[in-house]
Amino acid sequence: MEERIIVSNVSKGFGKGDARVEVLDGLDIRVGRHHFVSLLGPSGCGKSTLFNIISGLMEPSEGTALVDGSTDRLGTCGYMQQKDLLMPWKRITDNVALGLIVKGTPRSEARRRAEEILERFGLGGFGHRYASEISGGMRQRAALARTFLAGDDVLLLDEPFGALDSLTRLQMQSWLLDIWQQSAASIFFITHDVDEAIRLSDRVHVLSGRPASVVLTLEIDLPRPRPYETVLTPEFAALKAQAIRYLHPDEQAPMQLEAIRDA
Amino acid sequence: MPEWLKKTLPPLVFGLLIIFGWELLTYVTNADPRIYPAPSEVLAALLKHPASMFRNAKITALEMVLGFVLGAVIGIALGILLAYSKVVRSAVYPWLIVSQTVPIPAIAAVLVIWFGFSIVPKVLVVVLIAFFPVAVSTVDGLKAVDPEMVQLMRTFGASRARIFREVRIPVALPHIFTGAKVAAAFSVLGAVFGEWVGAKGGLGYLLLLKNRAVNTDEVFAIILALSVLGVGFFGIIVLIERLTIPWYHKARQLEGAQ
Repeated sequence: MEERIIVSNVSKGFGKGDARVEVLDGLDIRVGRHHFVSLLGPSGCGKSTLFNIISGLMEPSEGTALVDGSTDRLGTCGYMQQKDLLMPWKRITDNVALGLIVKGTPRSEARRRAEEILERFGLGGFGHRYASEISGGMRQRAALARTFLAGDDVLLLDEPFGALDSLTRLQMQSWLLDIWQQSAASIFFITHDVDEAIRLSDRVHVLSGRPASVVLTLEIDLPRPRPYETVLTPEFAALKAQAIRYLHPDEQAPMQLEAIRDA
Repeated sequence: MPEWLKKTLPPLVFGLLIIFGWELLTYVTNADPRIYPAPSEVLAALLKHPASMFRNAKITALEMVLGFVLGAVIGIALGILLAYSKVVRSAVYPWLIVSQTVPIPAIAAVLVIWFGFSIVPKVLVVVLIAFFPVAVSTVDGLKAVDPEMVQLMRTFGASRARIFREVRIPVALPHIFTGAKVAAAFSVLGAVFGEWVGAKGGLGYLLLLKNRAVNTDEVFAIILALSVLGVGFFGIIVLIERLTIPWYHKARQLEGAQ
């Protein structure tokens, strides 16, 4: 397995002296070619900081982060944050093409590829609209399309569905799995939704609170494709119970969960 | 009733009521038309010397437009400097505010001493009035950028110049237009002040002449012409705004509809 993202022994802190806050503590994470890896952790534990480091927006205090073997990371990953960050002054096609254009693709070529991916993402015919003229789910798909085009198949998705209502969210998960399986993309995904992490991923890293370190790594070998019903299987529940144990180490696991796990 | 009619009818009716009431009042009180002219007399005065009115309006309009354009350019450039340079901001910003407390007519008087009765002092007075709202709104606009949007551009590998062009300027434009609209509305004021201190033509100059001759009907006619100039100029800026940032108005309309 060829590794596209390699995070070795990465620590990060902010501030100096007494005001210093340690956010990440010795993380070791790899994302292979066409792998789907998730980070699961409590809110504010520093997951986004890790993505800021991998994308090249920040440097780690210690350790190294490599994308395709290089430390020169700015401009290599497609990075999508929770907000869609579509620019209201650009039409959807131009928003989606933006990453390519900045990276030097001729405008007409970039727009052609944007139209193509919009078609594939179910947004054909919406390219001429402004972001304010399409729904939240569509905006999120457009942002994802932009990330796919900009990312050269290395994608960092930071709670991309966090702002959506739960029904739309489930649809988007199924849709993302579809899109991913037809692509060559390696996806590194952040969420604090246990079901979402397990359903989507090949591997889930559970993080502790601040400073964040990996407390559990789950290999998810549930068969694909994974329709929504996957979350109702005993195998899924067993994985979920394990993850919850480590997410909330102070709480006693409820009786029902114990029963499911033993089944 | 169509939407535009719903919007224009109330102010129209209100305005007509005022004019009608005023007309009625002058008849009922039998007021001296030299001092309290009726609206009908003002209208007649407006059409009495159309050539002179038109020629002087052109002079004032030129002063407004030149002063506004120059003021807006200076305001935007200054705003960019203020937003980007800490040194400029700390050294210049307090003085900028002080400059706004100086009475414009006082400065206009000095400008006439320096530049004579030419168009220059009038244009400069308009510049002095117009640059400030544009500069302040440019600073605000450039600071209104979502930092995450800048980060997104950086993850694409975009340069600072590119981020400025593709993100900061578009975010700032609606703010800058707000400042420009204020500046446009005030530019009539600047031109009239400039003419009052010393001029050989223009509506402000004409207004002084008619005022001294106590031709009150013509004074009102000139006031009317000045406000038409002001409203027209404002309208042109609004039109340019609509054409420059159509996306902004679409988004606002949608927000209003929800």
